[in-house]
Amino acid sequence: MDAGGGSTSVRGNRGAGRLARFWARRGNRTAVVGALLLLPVVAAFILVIAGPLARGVILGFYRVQQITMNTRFVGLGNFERVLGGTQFWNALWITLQYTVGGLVLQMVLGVGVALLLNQHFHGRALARSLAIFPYLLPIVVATTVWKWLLNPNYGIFNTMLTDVGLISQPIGWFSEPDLALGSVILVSTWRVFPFVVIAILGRLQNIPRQLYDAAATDGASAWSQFWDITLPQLRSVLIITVFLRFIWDFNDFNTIALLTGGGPAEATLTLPVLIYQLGFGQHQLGLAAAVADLTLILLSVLFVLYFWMTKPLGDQR
Amino acid sequence: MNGTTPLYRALMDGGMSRRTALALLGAGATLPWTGRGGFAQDVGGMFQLLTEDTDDPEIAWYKARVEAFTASHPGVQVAYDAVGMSGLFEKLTTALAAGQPPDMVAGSGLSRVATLAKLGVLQPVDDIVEAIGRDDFMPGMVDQFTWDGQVLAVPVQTLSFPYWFRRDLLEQAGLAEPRTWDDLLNVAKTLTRDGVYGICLPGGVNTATARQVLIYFRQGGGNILDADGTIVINSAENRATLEFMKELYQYSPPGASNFGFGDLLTNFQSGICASTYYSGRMLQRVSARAPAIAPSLGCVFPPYKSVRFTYTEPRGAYILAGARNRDAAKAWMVEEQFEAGRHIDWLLTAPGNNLPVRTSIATDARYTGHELLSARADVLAVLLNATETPGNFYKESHEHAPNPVGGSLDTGPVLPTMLQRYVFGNESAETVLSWAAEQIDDMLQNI
Repeated sequence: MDAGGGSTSVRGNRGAGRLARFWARRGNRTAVVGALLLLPVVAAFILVIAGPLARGVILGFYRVQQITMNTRFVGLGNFERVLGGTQFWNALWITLQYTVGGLVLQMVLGVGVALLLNQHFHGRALARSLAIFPYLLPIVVATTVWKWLLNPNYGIFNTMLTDVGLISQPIGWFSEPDLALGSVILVSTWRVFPFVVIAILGRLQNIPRQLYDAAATDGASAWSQFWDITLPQLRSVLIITVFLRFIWDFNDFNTIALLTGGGPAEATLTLPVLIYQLGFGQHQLGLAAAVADLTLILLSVLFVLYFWMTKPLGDQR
Repeated sequence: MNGTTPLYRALMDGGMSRRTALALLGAGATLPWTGRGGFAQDVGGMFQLLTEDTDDPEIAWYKARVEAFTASHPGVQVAYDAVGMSGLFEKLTTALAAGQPPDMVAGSGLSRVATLAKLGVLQPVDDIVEAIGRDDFMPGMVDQFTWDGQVLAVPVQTLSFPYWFRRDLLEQAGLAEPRTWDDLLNVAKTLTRDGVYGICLPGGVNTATARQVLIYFRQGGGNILDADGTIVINSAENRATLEFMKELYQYSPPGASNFGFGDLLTNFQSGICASTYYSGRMLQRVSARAPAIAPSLGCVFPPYKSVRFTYTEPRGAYILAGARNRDAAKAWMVEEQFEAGRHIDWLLTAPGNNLPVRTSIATDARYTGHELLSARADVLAVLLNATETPGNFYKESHEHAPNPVGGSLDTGPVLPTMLQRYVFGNESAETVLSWAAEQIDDMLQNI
């Protein structure tokens, strides 16, 4: 008993000695303290992001009774159902149209307005403030205002168009299947293009003036200056803006849910709205999770692409 | 006197178990039954109350009652949340998933209550029904909220959906009140002129559209489920009905594919439409907001093709199985929500829409003597008469087996999307009905 105890004591002393030597090294101390400092962030990440994300992914493999949360494992059954039907593919196509269409308009409008606001003119500060206004407006307010403006029975747009004789019948901007998606894209563009303006304007203000002076001395036209100086200088911020806006627009639920609810006849049914309808309308949480999983995969591909494209830029700096 | 009657009657009629009666007597011994404070005067803690009612007068009623309830029970803190009809399931889903359900919901349609009952998330309220007076409820009313011999919701009110029209426009056009689909189409077509549309129909992805689909399907001789619960939505009758609906939508204002309940009311009371379907709330709204139209407001049982049908659905108040403050919920129901005078005040927050389900209330002079209801007794008669032809998503007819996904059909996107794809998206009736059948089948398998 004593011998055993002695042996344990010797091993304990050796262990303590090793620990003391480990701690005595400055590099080890830094590593341990660093890990401890990171711990709260890692814990928060697991709790708030990784945990729910994993749970969401896993739900895609179950049939889930949403109210009771009773589950039954169905393997790839939900994915087979989603990919085998037409609704997912239609929603994906509409999501791409909504995202790309909106992105093109946002970029063109955003860059154009940023270039204008970068010029010196009287009232520039006021113009800059006003340009940001749509982005500050709560989305519920913005969509309600647009719904009323474009309302076929009371809306001022239809009234004006009818009064000047451009149309004989009011147009259902959000209720005609052929027009609804375009109308939603326009409202979305109006609301978020100021983000592009802010990002581009910030970079424009940092382009050295000497570059333009030198180009002007060499006789470069305004177009050449834009093409050869402004655009290359904007490249990094443009790429970041395009990627961020692509991801945000791809995931945009609020605008469409508030304007059309995905209708009419699924003409504006994007993936986020489909997920909502499956999960909260039909109470098919497993199916909804499967669509969400597929959306996550699609966006992850883009995310990898984003890193791949932005890394060389970092190296160039 | 009002306060003592239910308990006295319950005890004298023997309609209550000895244990329940003794429990009530025990509570009553501490404080005489006065309609407030007598049921469970020692209740305390947090009491979470959800409601689907979001109109201003309804919210004002709840706020007043919450104030009175907390005054008589100083230990109770009431968390009152008006989540609306479409927000209820979302709220319940997240609350139940988080293991923190609300204590009670002050009223949901039978279809939604049935879904929750089927899922086993409600607890019996037999004792409350007995305390209010089981015999006072209209025949069959309590039975509709009874599953496996247990009452799971207390009937609050019922509603019906008649057809509303502008009598002045009808008379100017020399038309009689429509009784059949042919009449209806003729009225819609004839009255569509001079900037007015003959009929306003819902078409958005919402409850209004879902109910309209059920109304027309049943009127056209079709069903969603047959009496045994088999999916029969893809039928020749429903294909013909969709065709009729598509024709009718031509006479509805532009934008119909986004319309919900609110648009029907707004368009009718603003004079854009000559007719529409709506609950009894129309009576109050037109009287209050469109006095020029009010005198010519007409109301009949909805025109039909082969089956006399309109949507009618009782609402019930219920306590969640995981409620942490059942005592407060019971006290709330007995003292505030169902006490005769306060209950009548509640029904009159939307006169004509909130129809009584208790005999004593329906005959109470405080209810029948209401200015608007007594002035438009003709309308009240139509509304009450319509409730006698019950049909809703839970049971499409008396003979139907309960539909366990009725609540999801009522508030979900399947039926509205199906209609939109046919009427506005120009897909074939066969395609959209077949798609709807698949969706419903999937929902039934998931329950």
